[in-house]
Amino acid sequence: MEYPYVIIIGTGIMLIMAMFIVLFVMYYQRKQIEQQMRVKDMEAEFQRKLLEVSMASTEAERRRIAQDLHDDIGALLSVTKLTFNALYGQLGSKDQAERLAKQVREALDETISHVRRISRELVPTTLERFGLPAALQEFAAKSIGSHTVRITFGYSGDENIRLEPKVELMLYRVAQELINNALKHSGGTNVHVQLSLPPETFGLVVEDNGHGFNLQEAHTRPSPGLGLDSIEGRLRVINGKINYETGPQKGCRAVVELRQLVLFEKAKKRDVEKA
Amino acid sequence: MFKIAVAADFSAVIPIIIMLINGRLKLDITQKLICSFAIIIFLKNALTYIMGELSIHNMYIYNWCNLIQGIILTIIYTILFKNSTFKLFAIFGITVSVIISLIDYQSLFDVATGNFNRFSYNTIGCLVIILTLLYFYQLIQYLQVPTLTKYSYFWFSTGALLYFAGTIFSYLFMEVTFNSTIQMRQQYWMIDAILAIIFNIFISFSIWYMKPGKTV
Ligand SMILES: Nc1ncnc2c1ncn2[C@@H]1O[C@H](COP(=O)(O)OP(=O)(O)O)[C@@H](O)[C@H]1O
Ligand SMILES: [Mg+2]
Repeated sequence: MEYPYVIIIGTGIMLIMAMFIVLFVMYYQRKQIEQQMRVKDMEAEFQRKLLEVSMASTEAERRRIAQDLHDDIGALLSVTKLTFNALYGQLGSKDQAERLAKQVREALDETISHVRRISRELVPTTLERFGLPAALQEFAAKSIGSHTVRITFGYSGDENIRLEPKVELMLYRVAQELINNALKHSGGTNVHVQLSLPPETFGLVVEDNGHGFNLQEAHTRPSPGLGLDSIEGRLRVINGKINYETGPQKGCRAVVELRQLVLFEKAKKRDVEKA
Repeated sequence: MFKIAVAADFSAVIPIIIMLINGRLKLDITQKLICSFAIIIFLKNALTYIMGELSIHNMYIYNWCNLIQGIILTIIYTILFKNSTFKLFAIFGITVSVIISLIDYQSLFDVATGNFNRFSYNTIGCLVIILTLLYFYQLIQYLQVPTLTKYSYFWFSTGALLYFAGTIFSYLFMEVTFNSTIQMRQQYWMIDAILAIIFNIFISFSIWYMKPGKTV
Protein backbone atom coordinates (compact mmCIF):
# COMPACT_ATOMS: atom_id res chain seq x y z
CA MET A 1 0.00 0.00 0.00
CA GLU A 2 2.95 2.33 0.29
CA TYR A 3 4.00 2.22 -3.31
CA PRO A 4 1.03 4.15 -4.76
CA TYR A 5 1.71 7.13 -2.52
CA VAL A 6 5.36 7.18 -3.43
CA ILE A 7 4.43 7.07 -7.07
CA ILE A 8 1.78 9.78 -6.89
CA ILE A 9 3.96 12.10 -4.86
CA GLY A 10 6.96 11.37 -7.05
CA THR A 11 4.96 12.13 -10.16
CA GLY A 12 3.72 15.38 -8.62
CA ILE A 13 7.21 16.45 -7.70
CA MET A 14 8.57 15.62 -11.14
CA LEU A 15 5.79 17.61 -12.81
CA ILE A 16 6.30 20.61 -10.56
CA MET A 17 10.02 20.50 -11.18
CA ALA A 18 9.47 20.27 -14.92
CA MET A 19 7.13 23.24 -14.89
CA PHE A 20 9.50 25.19 -12.72
CA ILE A 21 12.34 24.52 -15.13
CA VAL A 22 10.28 25.60 -18.11
CA LEU A 23 9.19 28.79 -16.39
CA PHE A 24 12.74 29.49 -15.32
CA VAL A 25 14.00 29.05 -18.89
CA MET A 26 11.34 31.45 -20.16
CA TYR A 27 12.06 34.03 -17.47
CA TYR A 28 15.84 33.82 -17.77
CA GLN A 29 15.75 33.98 -21.55
CA ARG A 30 13.47 37.05 -21.51
CA LYS A 31 15.72 38.82 -19.02
CA GLN A 32 18.87 38.06 -20.99
CA ILE A 33 17.35 39.26 -24.25
CA GLU A 34 16.19 42.48 -22.63
CA GLN A 35 19.68 42.96 -21.27
CA GLN A 36 21.18 42.41 -24.71
CA MET A 37 18.83 44.95 -26.25
CA ARG A 38 19.68 47.49 -23.62
CA VAL A 39 23.37 47.06 -24.30
CA LYS A 40 22.75 47.43 -28.03
CA ASP A 41 20.74 50.60 -27.47
CA MET A 42 23.51 52.01 -25.35
CA GLU A 43 26.07 51.20 -27.99
CA ALA A 44 24.01 52.88 -30.69
CA GLU A 45 23.52 55.92 -28.50
CA PHE A 46 27.24 56.05 -27.80
CA GLN A 47 28.03 55.85 -31.51
CA ARG A 48 25.59 58.65 -32.19
CA LYS A 49 27.15 60.84 -29.53
CA LEU A 50 30.60 60.14 -30.87
CA LEU A 51 29.50 61.09 -34.36
CA GLU A 52 27.85 64.21 -33.10
CA VAL A 53 30.96 65.33 -31.25
CA SER A 54 33.22 64.65 -34.22
CA MET A 55 30.90 66.57 -36.52
CA ALA A 56 30.66 69.47 -34.14
CA SER A 57 34.44 69.66 -34.01
CA THR A 58 34.62 69.58 -37.81
CA GLU A 59 32.28 72.53 -37.96
CA ALA A 60 34.31 74.38 -35.36
CA GLU A 61 37.45 73.73 -37.37
CA ARG A 62 35.83 75.05 -40.50
CA ARG A 63 34.77 78.14 -38.67
CA ARG A 64 38.31 78.72 -37.47
CA ILE A 65 39.76 78.23 -40.95
CA ALA A 66 37.16 80.56 -42.43
CA GLN A 67 37.97 83.19 -39.86
CA ASP A 68 41.70 82.82 -40.48
CA LEU A 69 41.22 82.99 -44.22
CA HIS A 70 39.07 86.04 -43.97
CA ASP A 71 40.89 87.94 -41.28
CA ASP A 72 44.53 87.06 -41.87
CA ILE A 73 45.03 86.10 -45.46
CA GLY A 74 42.24 88.31 -46.80
CA ALA A 75 43.57 91.32 -44.93
CA LEU A 76 47.14 90.59 -45.94
CA LEU A 77 46.14 90.28 -49.57
CA SER A 78 44.26 93.56 -49.44
CA VAL A 79 47.28 95.30 -47.98
CA THR A 80 49.46 93.71 -50.62
CA LYS A 81 47.13 94.97 -53.31
CA LEU A 82 47.25 98.50 -51.95
CA THR A 83 51.02 98.37 -51.81
CA PHE A 84 51.12 97.04 -55.28
CA ASN A 85 48.87 99.82 -56.52
CA ALA A 86 51.30 102.30 -55.06
CA LEU A 87 54.19 100.48 -56.72
CA TYR A 88 52.27 100.48 -59.99
CA GLY A 89 51.99 104.24 -59.79
CA GLN A 90 55.77 104.47 -59.52
CA LEU A 91 56.32 102.43 -62.65
CA GLY A 92 57.43 104.10 -65.82
CA SER A 93 55.61 103.38 -69.01
CA LYS A 94 57.71 100.55 -70.09
CA ASP A 95 55.24 98.36 -72.00
CA GLN A 96 56.57 95.10 -70.72
CA ALA A 97 56.48 96.12 -67.07
CA GLU A 98 53.00 97.54 -67.43
CA ARG A 99 51.62 94.36 -68.88
CA LEU A 100 53.18 92.24 -66.14
CA ALA A 101 51.90 94.58 -63.47
CA LYS A 102 48.39 94.36 -64.85
CA GLN A 103 48.60 90.59 -64.72
CA VAL A 104 49.78 90.63 -61.14
CA ARG A 105 46.94 92.94 -60.16
CA GLU A 106 44.35 90.73 -61.79
CA ALA A 107 45.80 87.71 -60.04
CA LEU A 108 45.59 89.51 -56.74
CA ASP A 109 42.00 90.51 -57.35
CA GLU A 110 41.10 86.99 -58.20
CA THR A 111 42.87 85.62 -55.14
CA ILE A 112 41.05 88.05 -52.89
CA SER A 113 37.67 87.12 -54.26
CA HIS A 114 38.51 83.44 -53.98
CA VAL A 115 39.52 83.80 -50.37
CA ARG A 116 36.28 85.60 -49.70
CA ARG A 117 34.26 82.94 -51.45
CA ILE A 118 36.03 80.07 -49.73
CA SER A 119 35.64 81.55 -46.30
CA ARG A 120 31.97 82.21 -46.98
CA GLU A 121 31.45 78.66 -48.20
CA LEU A 122 33.14 77.17 -45.20
CA VAL A 123 30.58 78.65 -42.88
CA PRO A 124 27.05 79.09 -44.13
CA THR A 125 26.29 82.49 -42.69
CA THR A 126 23.06 82.81 -44.65
CA LEU A 127 21.85 79.67 -42.95
CA GLU A 128 22.56 81.03 -39.52
CA ARG A 129 20.86 84.33 -40.22
CA PHE A 130 17.94 83.44 -42.45
CA GLY A 131 17.37 79.73 -42.15
CA LEU A 132 17.19 76.78 -44.48
CA PRO A 133 15.08 78.06 -47.38
CA ALA A 134 17.22 81.12 -47.93
CA ALA A 135 20.46 79.21 -47.52
CA LEU A 136 19.42 76.45 -49.91
CA GLN A 137 18.19 78.97 -52.42
CA GLU A 138 21.50 80.76 -52.24
CA PHE A 139 23.45 77.56 -52.55
CA ALA A 140 21.40 76.47 -55.54
CA ALA A 141 21.86 79.84 -57.22
CA LYS A 142 25.60 79.75 -56.62
CA SER A 143 25.93 76.21 -57.97
CA ILE A 144 24.34 77.15 -61.30
CA GLY A 145 27.25 79.34 -62.37
CA SER A 146 29.75 76.56 -62.74
CA HIS A 147 27.59 73.95 -64.45
CA THR A 148 25.41 73.52 -67.46
CA VAL A 149 22.65 72.14 -65.31
CA ARG A 150 19.45 73.87 -64.38
CA ILE A 151 18.83 73.94 -60.65
CA THR A 152 15.42 74.85 -59.34
CA PHE A 153 14.41 75.32 -55.78
CA GLY A 154 11.01 75.40 -54.19
CA TYR A 155 9.62 75.26 -50.71
CA SER A 156 6.31 75.06 -48.94
CA GLY A 157 5.29 75.70 -45.38
CA ASP A 158 6.20 78.48 -43.03
CA GLU A 159 9.55 79.92 -44.03
CA ASN A 160 9.90 81.68 -40.71
CA ILE A 161 10.03 78.50 -38.78
CA ARG A 162 13.50 77.78 -37.56
CA LEU A 163 14.77 74.41 -36.49
CA GLU A 164 17.45 73.77 -33.94
CA PRO A 165 20.71 75.26 -35.30
CA LYS A 166 22.51 71.93 -35.12
CA VAL A 167 19.73 70.28 -37.09
CA GLU A 168 19.61 73.06 -39.66
CA LEU A 169 23.32 72.84 -40.23
CA MET A 170 23.21 69.07 -40.65
CA LEU A 171 20.32 69.31 -43.09
CA TYR A 172 22.13 72.00 -45.02
CA ARG A 173 25.25 69.87 -45.32
CA VAL A 174 23.15 66.90 -46.41
CA ALA A 175 21.42 68.99 -49.06
CA GLN A 176 24.79 70.34 -50.19
CA GLU A 177 26.14 66.83 -50.67
CA LEU A 178 22.99 65.68 -52.45
CA ILE A 179 23.07 68.64 -54.83
CA ASN A 180 26.77 68.21 -55.43
CA ASN A 181 26.27 64.54 -56.19
CA ALA A 182 23.48 65.34 -58.61
CA LEU A 183 25.71 67.87 -60.37
CA LYS A 184 28.80 65.68 -60.32
CA HIS A 185 27.50 62.19 -61.02
CA SER A 186 24.00 62.27 -62.42
CA GLY A 187 24.75 63.55 -65.91
CA GLY A 188 21.27 65.01 -66.02
CA THR A 189 20.10 68.43 -67.10
CA ASN A 190 17.76 69.34 -64.28
CA VAL A 191 18.10 69.26 -60.53
CA HIS A 192 15.19 70.15 -58.34
CA VAL A 193 15.37 70.83 -54.64
CA GLN A 194 12.11 70.86 -52.74
CA LEU A 195 11.80 71.73 -49.09
CA SER A 196 8.68 71.43 -47.04
CA LEU A 197 8.60 73.00 -43.63
CA PRO A 198 6.10 72.90 -40.79
CA PRO A 199 3.14 73.17 -40.39
CA GLU A 200 3.39 70.37 -42.91
CA THR A 201 5.69 67.54 -42.03
CA PHE A 202 9.30 68.24 -42.71
CA GLY A 203 10.73 66.93 -45.94
CA LEU A 204 13.69 67.63 -48.16
CA VAL A 205 13.78 66.22 -51.67
CA VAL A 206 16.65 66.46 -54.13
CA GLU A 207 15.94 64.93 -57.51
CA ASP A 208 17.70 64.85 -60.81
CA ASN A 209 16.90 63.47 -64.25
CA GLY A 210 20.26 61.82 -64.73
CA HIS A 211 21.19 58.21 -65.19
CA GLY A 212 20.72 57.20 -61.57
CA PHE A 213 22.81 54.62 -59.78
CA ASN A 214 22.70 51.36 -57.94
CA LEU A 215 22.71 52.11 -54.23
CA GLN A 216 23.89 48.67 -53.20
CA GLU A 217 26.74 48.87 -55.64
CA ALA A 218 27.72 52.38 -54.54
CA HIS A 219 28.01 51.12 -50.97
CA THR A 220 29.98 47.99 -51.75
CA ARG A 221 32.31 49.52 -54.31
CA PRO A 222 36.01 48.91 -53.49
CA SER A 223 36.59 52.60 -52.74
CA PRO A 224 33.23 54.08 -51.94
CA GLY A 225 32.76 57.84 -51.79
CA LEU A 226 32.51 59.52 -48.43
CA GLY A 227 29.42 61.48 -49.39
CA LEU A 228 26.72 58.88 -48.94
CA ASP A 229 28.25 57.70 -45.68
CA SER A 230 28.49 61.19 -44.27
CA ILE A 231 24.85 61.78 -45.17
CA GLU A 232 23.89 58.67 -43.24
CA GLY A 233 26.00 59.72 -40.29
CA ARG A 234 24.62 63.24 -40.15
CA LEU A 235 21.07 62.01 -40.35
CA ARG A 236 21.69 59.51 -37.60
CA VAL A 237 22.79 62.33 -35.34
CA ILE A 238 19.64 64.36 -35.94
CA ASN A 239 17.37 61.34 -35.96
CA GLY A 240 16.50 61.52 -39.60
CA LYS A 241 16.42 59.09 -42.46
CA ILE A 242 17.06 59.17 -46.16
CA ASN A 243 15.49 57.18 -48.91
CA TYR A 244 16.83 56.99 -52.44
CA GLU A 245 14.43 56.24 -55.23
CA THR A 246 16.83 55.42 -57.99
CA GLY A 247 17.96 52.80 -60.39
CA PRO A 248 19.91 52.63 -63.62
CA GLN A 249 18.51 55.16 -66.10
CA LYS A 250 15.85 56.30 -63.68
CA GLY A 251 17.36 59.48 -62.29
CA CYS A 252 17.69 59.85 -58.59
CA ARG A 253 15.24 61.15 -56.05
CA ALA A 254 16.55 61.46 -52.51
CA VAL A 255 13.98 62.05 -49.79
CA VAL A 256 15.10 63.19 -46.35
CA GLU A 257 12.74 62.99 -43.41
CA LEU A 258 13.04 63.68 -39.72
CA ARG A 259 11.62 61.34 -37.12
CA GLN A 260 11.06 64.15 -34.70
CA LEU A 261 11.08 67.83 -35.29
CA VAL A 262 12.48 70.30 -32.79
CA LEU A 263 11.39 73.81 -33.59
CA PHE A 264 13.66 76.54 -32.44
CA GLU A 265 12.08 79.92 -32.86
CA LYS A 266 10.12 81.95 -35.30
CA ALA A 267 12.69 84.31 -36.66
CA LYS A 268 11.58 87.76 -37.58
CA LYS A 269 12.80 87.18 -41.04
CA ARG A 270 10.02 89.03 -42.80
CA ASP A 271 11.31 92.31 -41.38
CA VAL A 272 14.83 91.55 -42.43
CA GLU A 273 13.67 90.73 -45.91
CA LYS A 274 11.77 93.94 -46.30
CA ALA A 275 14.66 96.03 -45.10
CA MET B 1 -11.24 6.65 -16.11
CA PHE B 2 -11.87 4.82 -19.29
CA LYS B 3 -13.18 7.97 -20.93
CA ILE B 4 -9.98 9.89 -20.33
CA ALA B 5 -7.98 7.15 -21.97
CA VAL B 6 -10.21 7.41 -25.02
CA ALA B 7 -9.87 11.19 -25.01
CA ALA B 8 -6.11 10.74 -24.87
CA ASP B 9 -6.25 8.46 -27.85
CA PHE B 10 -8.28 10.96 -29.78
CA SER B 11 -6.21 13.98 -28.76
CA ALA B 12 -3.58 12.70 -31.16
CA VAL B 13 -5.84 13.99 -33.92
CA ILE B 14 -5.23 17.64 -32.99
CA PRO B 15 -1.61 17.78 -34.23
CA ILE B 16 -2.69 16.08 -37.44
CA ILE B 17 -5.39 18.71 -37.97
CA ILE B 18 -2.92 21.53 -37.34
CA MET B 19 -0.56 19.90 -39.79
CA LEU B 20 -3.27 19.89 -42.43
CA ILE B 21 -4.13 23.53 -41.69
CA ASN B 22 -0.49 24.53 -41.96
CA GLY B 23 -0.59 22.91 -45.36
CA ARG B 24 2.32 22.91 -47.69
CA LEU B 25 4.98 24.64 -45.67
CA LYS B 26 8.49 23.77 -46.69
CA LEU B 27 9.80 22.04 -43.58
CA ASP B 28 13.32 21.09 -42.70
CA ILE B 29 14.36 17.68 -41.45
CA THR B 30 13.75 18.24 -37.72
CA GLN B 31 10.33 19.74 -38.37
CA LYS B 32 9.46 16.76 -40.53
CA LEU B 33 10.61 14.50 -37.70
CA ILE B 34 8.32 16.25 -35.24
CA CYS B 35 5.46 15.82 -37.68
CA SER B 36 6.25 12.15 -38.13
CA PHE B 37 6.43 11.84 -34.34
CA ALA B 38 2.88 13.16 -34.16
CA ILE B 39 1.78 10.89 -36.98
CA ILE B 40 3.24 7.84 -35.26
CA ILE B 41 1.38 8.67 -32.05
CA PHE B 42 -1.78 9.07 -34.07
CA LEU B 43 -1.31 5.77 -35.90
CA LYS B 44 -0.43 3.96 -32.70
CA ASN B 45 -3.52 5.28 -30.97
CA ALA B 46 -5.77 4.43 -33.88
CA LEU B 47 -4.32 0.98 -34.28
CA THR B 48 -4.34 0.04 -30.59
CA TYR B 49 -7.83 1.47 -30.19
CA ILE B 50 -9.18 -0.67 -32.99
CA MET B 51 -7.28 -3.72 -31.81
CA GLY B 52 -8.52 -3.11 -28.29
CA GLU B 53 -12.09 -2.94 -29.51
CA LEU B 54 -11.57 -6.21 -31.33
CA SER B 55 -9.90 -7.72 -28.24
CA ILE B 56 -6.67 -8.41 -30.08
CA HIS B 57 -3.41 -8.28 -28.14
CA ASN B 58 -1.85 -4.91 -28.76
CA MET B 59 0.68 -4.52 -25.99
CA TYR B 60 3.70 -5.24 -28.17
CA ILE B 61 2.70 -2.31 -30.38
CA TYR B 62 2.96 0.05 -27.44
CA ASN B 63 6.37 -1.34 -26.68
CA TRP B 64 7.60 -0.94 -30.21
CA CYS B 65 6.18 2.55 -30.50
CA ASN B 66 7.91 3.58 -27.31
CA LEU B 67 11.23 2.55 -28.80
CA ILE B 68 10.55 4.26 -32.11
CA GLN B 69 9.46 7.47 -30.39
CA GLY B 70 12.60 7.43 -28.31
CA ILE B 71 14.70 7.02 -31.44
CA ILE B 72 12.92 9.85 -33.28
CA LEU B 73 13.27 12.19 -30.29
CA THR B 74 16.95 11.38 -30.06
CA ILE B 75 17.46 12.12 -33.74
CA ILE B 76 15.61 15.42 -33.39
CA TYR B 77 17.77 16.55 -30.50
CA THR B 78 20.95 15.20 -32.01
CA ILE B 79 20.29 17.47 -34.97
CA LEU B 80 19.27 20.42 -32.80
CA PHE B 81 22.26 20.24 -30.49
CA LYS B 82 25.21 22.41 -31.41
CA ASN B 83 27.51 20.90 -28.83
CA SER B 84 29.09 17.70 -30.14
CA THR B 85 29.33 16.24 -26.62
CA PHE B 86 25.56 16.56 -26.34
CA LYS B 87 25.17 14.89 -29.71
CA LEU B 88 27.39 12.00 -28.69
CA PHE B 89 25.56 11.66 -25.41
CA ALA B 90 22.21 11.46 -27.20
CA ILE B 91 23.43 8.76 -29.57
CA PHE B 92 25.09 6.83 -26.77
CA GLY B 93 21.95 7.10 -24.63
CA ILE B 94 19.60 5.78 -27.26
CA THR B 95 21.94 2.92 -28.15
CA VAL B 96 22.09 1.84 -24.52
CA SER B 97 18.31 2.19 -24.18
CA VAL B 98 17.63 0.03 -27.19
CA ILE B 99 20.07 -2.65 -26.06
CA ILE B 100 18.62 -2.72 -22.55
CA SER B 101 15.07 -2.87 -23.82
CA LEU B 102 16.00 -5.92 -25.91
CA ILE B 103 16.71 -7.78 -22.66
CA ASP B 104 12.95 -7.93 -22.22
CA TYR B 105 12.62 -9.30 -25.75
CA GLN B 106 9.37 -11.06 -24.94
CA SER B 107 7.52 -7.80 -24.63
CA LEU B 108 8.62 -6.92 -28.16
CA PHE B 109 8.51 -10.18 -30.07
CA ASP B 110 5.78 -12.11 -28.31
CA VAL B 111 2.62 -10.93 -30.05
CA ALA B 112 0.47 -12.15 -27.20
CA THR B 113 2.41 -10.40 -24.48
CA GLY B 114 0.43 -8.57 -21.85
CA ASN B 115 3.32 -6.68 -20.36
CA PHE B 116 5.00 -3.38 -20.89
CA ASN B 117 8.68 -3.60 -21.64
CA ARG B 118 10.33 -3.52 -18.24
CA PHE B 119 13.22 -1.29 -19.25
CA SER B 120 12.63 0.85 -22.31
CA TYR B 121 10.04 3.16 -20.73
CA ASN B 122 12.40 4.04 -17.91
CA THR B 123 15.55 4.44 -19.88
CA ILE B 124 13.92 6.34 -22.72
CA GLY B 125 12.02 8.50 -20.23
CA CYS B 126 15.24 9.43 -18.46
CA LEU B 127 17.02 10.00 -21.74
CA VAL B 128 14.33 12.31 -23.10
CA ILE B 129 14.20 14.31 -19.87
CA ILE B 130 17.95 14.84 -20.02
CA LEU B 131 17.84 15.72 -23.73
CA THR B 132 15.14 18.34 -23.24
CA LEU B 133 17.01 19.83 -20.30
CA LEU B 134 20.18 19.99 -22.38
CA TYR B 135 18.19 21.65 -25.13
CA PHE B 136 16.81 24.23 -22.70
CA TYR B 137 20.36 24.85 -21.57
CA GLN B 138 21.35 25.43 -25.17
CA LEU B 139 18.42 27.82 -25.66
CA ILE B 140 19.43 30.09 -22.81
CA GLN B 141 23.07 29.79 -23.72
CA TYR B 142 22.74 31.06 -27.28
CA LEU B 143 19.74 33.39 -26.85
CA GLN B 144 18.86 33.43 -30.51
CA VAL B 145 15.11 33.09 -30.09
CA PRO B 146 13.42 36.41 -29.34
CA THR B 147 10.11 34.95 -28.06
CA LEU B 148 10.13 31.39 -26.82
CA THR B 149 6.35 31.14 -26.78
CA LYS B 150 6.36 31.42 -30.56
CA TYR B 151 9.14 28.93 -31.02
CA SER B 152 8.24 25.51 -32.34
CA TYR B 153 10.99 23.51 -30.63
CA PHE B 154 10.33 25.16 -27.30
CA TRP B 155 6.74 23.95 -27.34
CA PHE B 156 7.80 20.50 -28.40
CA SER B 157 10.51 20.24 -25.73
CA THR B 158 8.21 21.54 -23.03
CA GLY B 159 5.57 18.99 -23.97
CA ALA B 160 8.12 16.19 -24.03
CA LEU B 161 9.59 17.23 -20.70
CA LEU B 162 6.19 17.41 -18.98
CA TYR B 163 5.05 14.09 -20.42
CA PHE B 164 8.17 12.12 -19.67
CA ALA B 165 8.79 13.74 -16.27
CA GLY B 166 5.17 13.06 -15.30
CA THR B 167 5.17 9.45 -16.38
CA ILE B 168 8.63 8.41 -15.28
CA PHE B 169 7.57 7.51 -11.76
CA SER B 170 4.73 5.28 -12.84
CA TYR B 171 7.11 3.53 -15.21
CA LEU B 172 9.86 3.27 -12.61
CA PHE B 173 7.59 1.14 -10.48
CA MET B 174 6.36 -0.73 -13.50
CA GLU B 175 5.82 -3.99 -11.63
CA VAL B 176 3.45 -2.30 -9.21
CA THR B 177 1.66 -0.06 -11.67
CA PHE B 178 1.31 -1.35 -15.18
CA ASN B 179 2.47 -4.92 -15.06
CA SER B 180 0.28 -5.89 -12.10
CA THR B 181 -3.46 -5.99 -11.54
CA ILE B 182 -5.88 -4.44 -14.00
CA GLN B 183 -7.20 -1.93 -11.46
CA MET B 184 -3.71 -0.67 -10.70
CA ARG B 185 -2.94 -0.43 -14.35
CA GLN B 186 -5.99 1.68 -15.09
CA GLN B 187 -5.22 4.02 -12.24
CA TYR B 188 -1.84 4.86 -13.69
CA TRP B 189 -3.08 4.75 -17.18
CA MET B 190 -5.11 7.82 -16.27
CA ILE B 191 -2.03 9.85 -15.37
CA ASP B 192 -0.50 8.79 -18.62
CA ALA B 193 -3.65 9.73 -20.50
CA ILE B 194 -3.85 13.24 -19.08
CA LEU B 195 -0.19 13.87 -19.77
CA ALA B 196 -0.58 12.46 -23.26
CA ILE B 197 -3.36 14.95 -23.95
CA ILE B 198 -1.14 17.78 -22.74
CA PHE B 199 1.74 16.51 -24.84
CA ASN B 200 -0.45 16.37 -27.93
CA ILE B 201 -1.63 19.92 -27.35
CA PHE B 202 1.96 21.09 -27.00
CA ILE B 203 2.93 19.23 -30.15
CA SER B 204 0.06 21.01 -31.89
CA PHE B 205 1.47 24.36 -30.83
CA SER B 206 4.87 23.23 -31.99
CA ILE B 207 3.53 22.38 -35.41
CA TRP B 208 1.49 25.58 -35.50
CA TYR B 209 4.58 27.73 -34.95
CA MET B 210 6.72 25.92 -37.49
CA LYS B 211 8.10 28.18 -40.10
CA PRO B 212 10.59 27.49 -42.82
CA GLY B 213 14.26 27.90 -42.06
CA LYS B 214 16.26 28.88 -38.94
CA THR B 215 16.66 26.52 -36.06
CA VAL B 216 18.47 27.11 -32.81
N1 LIG C 1 22.44 61.79 -58.07
C1 LIG C 1 23.26 60.78 -58.46
N2 LIG C 1 23.19 60.32 -59.73
C2 LIG C 1 24.00 59.31 -60.13
N3 LIG C 1 24.90 58.70 -59.35
C3 LIG C 1 25.04 59.14 -58.09
C4 LIG C 1 24.23 60.20 -57.57
N4 LIG C 1 24.55 60.39 -56.28
C5 LIG C 1 25.52 59.50 -56.01
N5 LIG C 1 25.83 58.76 -57.08
C6 LIG C 1 26.78 57.65 -57.14
O1 LIG C 1 27.12 57.26 -55.81
C7 LIG C 1 28.50 57.26 -55.64
C8 LIG C 1 28.87 57.65 -54.23
O2 LIG C 1 28.64 59.02 -53.98
P1 LIG C 1 29.39 59.76 -52.83
O3 LIG C 1 29.37 58.87 -51.62
O4 LIG C 1 28.81 61.11 -52.66
O5 LIG C 1 30.89 59.81 -53.30
P2 LIG C 1 31.60 60.90 -54.20
O6 LIG C 1 30.62 61.98 -54.47
O7 LIG C 1 32.74 61.31 -53.39
O8 LIG C 1 31.99 60.13 -55.43
C9 LIG C 1 29.02 58.21 -56.67
O9 LIG C 1 30.31 57.87 -57.06
C10 LIG C 1 28.05 58.03 -57.81
O10 LIG C 1 28.43 56.96 -58.63
MG1 LIG D 1 29.56 63.00 -53.27
